[in-house]
Amino acid sequence: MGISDSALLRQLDRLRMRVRTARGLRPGETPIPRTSQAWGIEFESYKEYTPGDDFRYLDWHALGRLDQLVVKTFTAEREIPYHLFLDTSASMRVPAIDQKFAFATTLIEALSYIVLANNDTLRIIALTAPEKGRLPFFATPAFRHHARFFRIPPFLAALTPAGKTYLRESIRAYLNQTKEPGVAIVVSDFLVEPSQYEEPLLLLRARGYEVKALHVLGAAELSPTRLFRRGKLYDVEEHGERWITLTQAHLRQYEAALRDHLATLQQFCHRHHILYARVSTEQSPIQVITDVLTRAGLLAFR
Amino acid sequence: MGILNPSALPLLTLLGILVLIYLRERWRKRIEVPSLLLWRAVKEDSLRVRRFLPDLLFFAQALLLLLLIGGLLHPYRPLVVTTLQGNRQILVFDVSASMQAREGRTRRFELALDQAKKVVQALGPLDEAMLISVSTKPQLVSGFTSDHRHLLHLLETLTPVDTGTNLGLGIELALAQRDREGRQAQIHVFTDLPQSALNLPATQLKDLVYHRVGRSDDNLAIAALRLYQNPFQHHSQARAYVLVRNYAYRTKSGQLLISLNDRQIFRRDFTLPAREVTSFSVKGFEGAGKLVAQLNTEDALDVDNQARAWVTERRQRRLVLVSPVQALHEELERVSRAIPGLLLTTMTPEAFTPSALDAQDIVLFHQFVPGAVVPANSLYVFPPPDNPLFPVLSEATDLTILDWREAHDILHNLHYVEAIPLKRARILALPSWAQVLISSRTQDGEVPLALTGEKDGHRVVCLAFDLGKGHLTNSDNLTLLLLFLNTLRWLLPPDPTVPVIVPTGETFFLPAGIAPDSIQATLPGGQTRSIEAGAVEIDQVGEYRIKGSHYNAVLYANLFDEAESDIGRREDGSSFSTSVAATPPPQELRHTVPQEFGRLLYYGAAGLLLLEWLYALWRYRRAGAP
Repeated sequence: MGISDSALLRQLDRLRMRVRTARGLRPGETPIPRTSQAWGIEFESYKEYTPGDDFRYLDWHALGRLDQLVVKTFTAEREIPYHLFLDTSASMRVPAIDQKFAFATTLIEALSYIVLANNDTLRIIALTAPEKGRLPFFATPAFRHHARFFRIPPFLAALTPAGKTYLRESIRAYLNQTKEPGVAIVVSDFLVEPSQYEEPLLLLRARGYEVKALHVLGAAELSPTRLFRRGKLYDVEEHGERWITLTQAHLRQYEAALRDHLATLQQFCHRHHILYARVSTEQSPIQVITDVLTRAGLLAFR
Repeated sequence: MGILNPSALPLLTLLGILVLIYLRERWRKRIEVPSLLLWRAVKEDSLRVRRFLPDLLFFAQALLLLLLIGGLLHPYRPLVVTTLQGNRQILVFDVSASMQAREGRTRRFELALDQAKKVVQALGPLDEAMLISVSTKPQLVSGFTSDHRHLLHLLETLTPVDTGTNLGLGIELALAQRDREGRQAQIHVFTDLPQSALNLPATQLKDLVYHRVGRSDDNLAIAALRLYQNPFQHHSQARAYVLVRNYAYRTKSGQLLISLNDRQIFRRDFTLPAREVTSFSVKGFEGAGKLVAQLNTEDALDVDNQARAWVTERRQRRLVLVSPVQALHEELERVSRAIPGLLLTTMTPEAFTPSALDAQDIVLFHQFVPGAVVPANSLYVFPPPDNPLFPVLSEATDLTILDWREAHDILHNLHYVEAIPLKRARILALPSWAQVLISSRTQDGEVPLALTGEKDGHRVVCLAFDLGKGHLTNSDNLTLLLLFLNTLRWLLPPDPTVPVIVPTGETFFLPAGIAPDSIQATLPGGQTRSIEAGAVEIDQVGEYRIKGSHYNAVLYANLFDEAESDIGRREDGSSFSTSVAATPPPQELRHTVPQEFGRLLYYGAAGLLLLEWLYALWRYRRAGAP
């Protein structure tokens, strides 16, 4: 996979990230709706002059007509810091036929391209299992220019999904090191107990991040008959085994459990104003980016 | 349906192995999933999953295995094949001496030959025939052949021989060949013998097409020529008897001529009534040599009108006695003085040296056996214990003779064998090269009292009882003396200059050690014949000369066969068949042949492999080719 396809790149050039509340401290090119500033390009409103305001923005016509000192205000434009969290646990590599991890890295690449094209700040954080003497994540430096995009694919290519899922520990460790909040996009299969993903997502919210959950599902997870009919299932993270025969009744039981799991995650996100988007490896990356993510509100056309 | 190679059946166990491989793979194989979180809702079913539930790939592999094993089994299905086959005939042709009998201007042989040719000429193009000629032994002249011209040629090459016939054996051979390859053949017999002479069951006789030829009974024959002369007799003491028989059913006249070394010594004209016999005696021969009896008469069969014998020149025979018993020395000297031509040398064992045997004919060892086998015919009497030649087990006294080989030359004309006095005898273990001549019996089983045999090319006789103490010359023990003299006679080496008298139909074998390659036989007619496998078939009356670089011998072959000379055979009512029935048309034969189709199974296996490969390729391209 990858986004080297020129057709995909052309599609990405037409897109931008949709931001609701997040903003950075640095001026940038992302207009912040309902937020004004004393300087800028796009006129937004007037405000009563207060000492210290820049005289250059006094509206002399209003002073002549109304004999009031008012100054123009402009729509604020800020640089948005983006934090793309990628789950690199072992569950992202199975079932192998789904190629979930490759799919997820493609999405990360595409989002990175869009972010950098918009001159925003970007960091990619690979969430890993905690090990002694090492932080439970790998993170890129903050990239600010689209020319830096080409440092991203090698970083992603070097990642290998392995180990258990430690969303909570990894995100907490990252937040301890980062002061500037922004947009946090968590790309994961979320195949953990709700307590495992609720706490880190709420933590991000509490730290002022605009949180977006990108749920990657494999085609074989949605339809397990593609994978097997009967056999010994092996949990690559917990190393448990379970003999399963995929009868119609069992299949219905699985699908019900999957629906419950997805509904729980989705309801949690809605309840806590977290944007939730579900993508499947059945879909093509270009379809996901131009259709699924735009409809979900993560991306918008320029 | 059947299989030609059942030894491949055990390969079917490979199917079981395939099932085991599948089960093992099922138990071993794990399906990796990201998490069992969602599968906890599904009931675990370990028993059902572990059960062997074949999938399509298993069926494909099992089918592939079955096809390969099926090919190895060489399966076949019976195929009915119809072929057009001609009839088969077996011609059994009698070529014995009586077939030479004249019938008017021709011979019985030619009459039978004409009949056989008619049978061959009546054969259809697909018909096959086999030719067997019969004299004393049957001979397969040609196997089944449809080359009728070749068969006629083979018939032309047949010639009658001067031997008797064993036609029954020839017919047995034909009967054995009759049902070969599931095709029944008809047997034609061409002979002058009546069917009653064949000694075959009536069930077999009724299947024969019998072509009997010859009606004449006109034959006067020399039925026997006997010359009585033992090795110690002078030729003037020899006596010859000629037996002449009239086989015709009418009175016949003839003239008997006897010549010695081609010089006529006897001539007698005679007249014999029908079926009568007369004998002529000749004695007082003036010398040794070839004795020929010739019958001059007008009859149908010539081959039995002559006979040959040999008057032997007496020559010195040397006998050495080695014995520690002086009484036996004296006794044997008395015996030797009474036998002209026997030269006796006596010595004690202490004086015995191997050089003492030079130019000796017979050696007699009494109570003594030398360390090595002597290079001469030898008689061992009462061998001592611990001798190297005859292992002595024990000693017995007052034994009674219970059994003996009456037909042996040593016991010829010996009527009271049980009268031989036995005081002491050694109990001998029978050597592997020897045979029991006279035996007794003890509690331990049969005990040999006299043994004969041949060791290292020399005749050996062993008497386990003692001859000593005046037994030989005692008039009460005449049987013992005759046994002793018969033994000496049997031990005398043959004179190579004396011709061997052989009846026709027998086989003469070259002595051991004579290579047949350099030897040729000159037949009575003057033809020469190389000797095969060291044997000469004697099938003509007359004189055979066998010549080689190191071996020469003369054989006199005589035909004294009443069955052949009695050419009339009126006692039988067999019909004389002359017509030849037309052979039936070729018959349709339906037989089943196994049609093997194992190769088709191999093709099926190859096709299945190809299909699997194409399917896998299709799946690979569909699933994933980047």
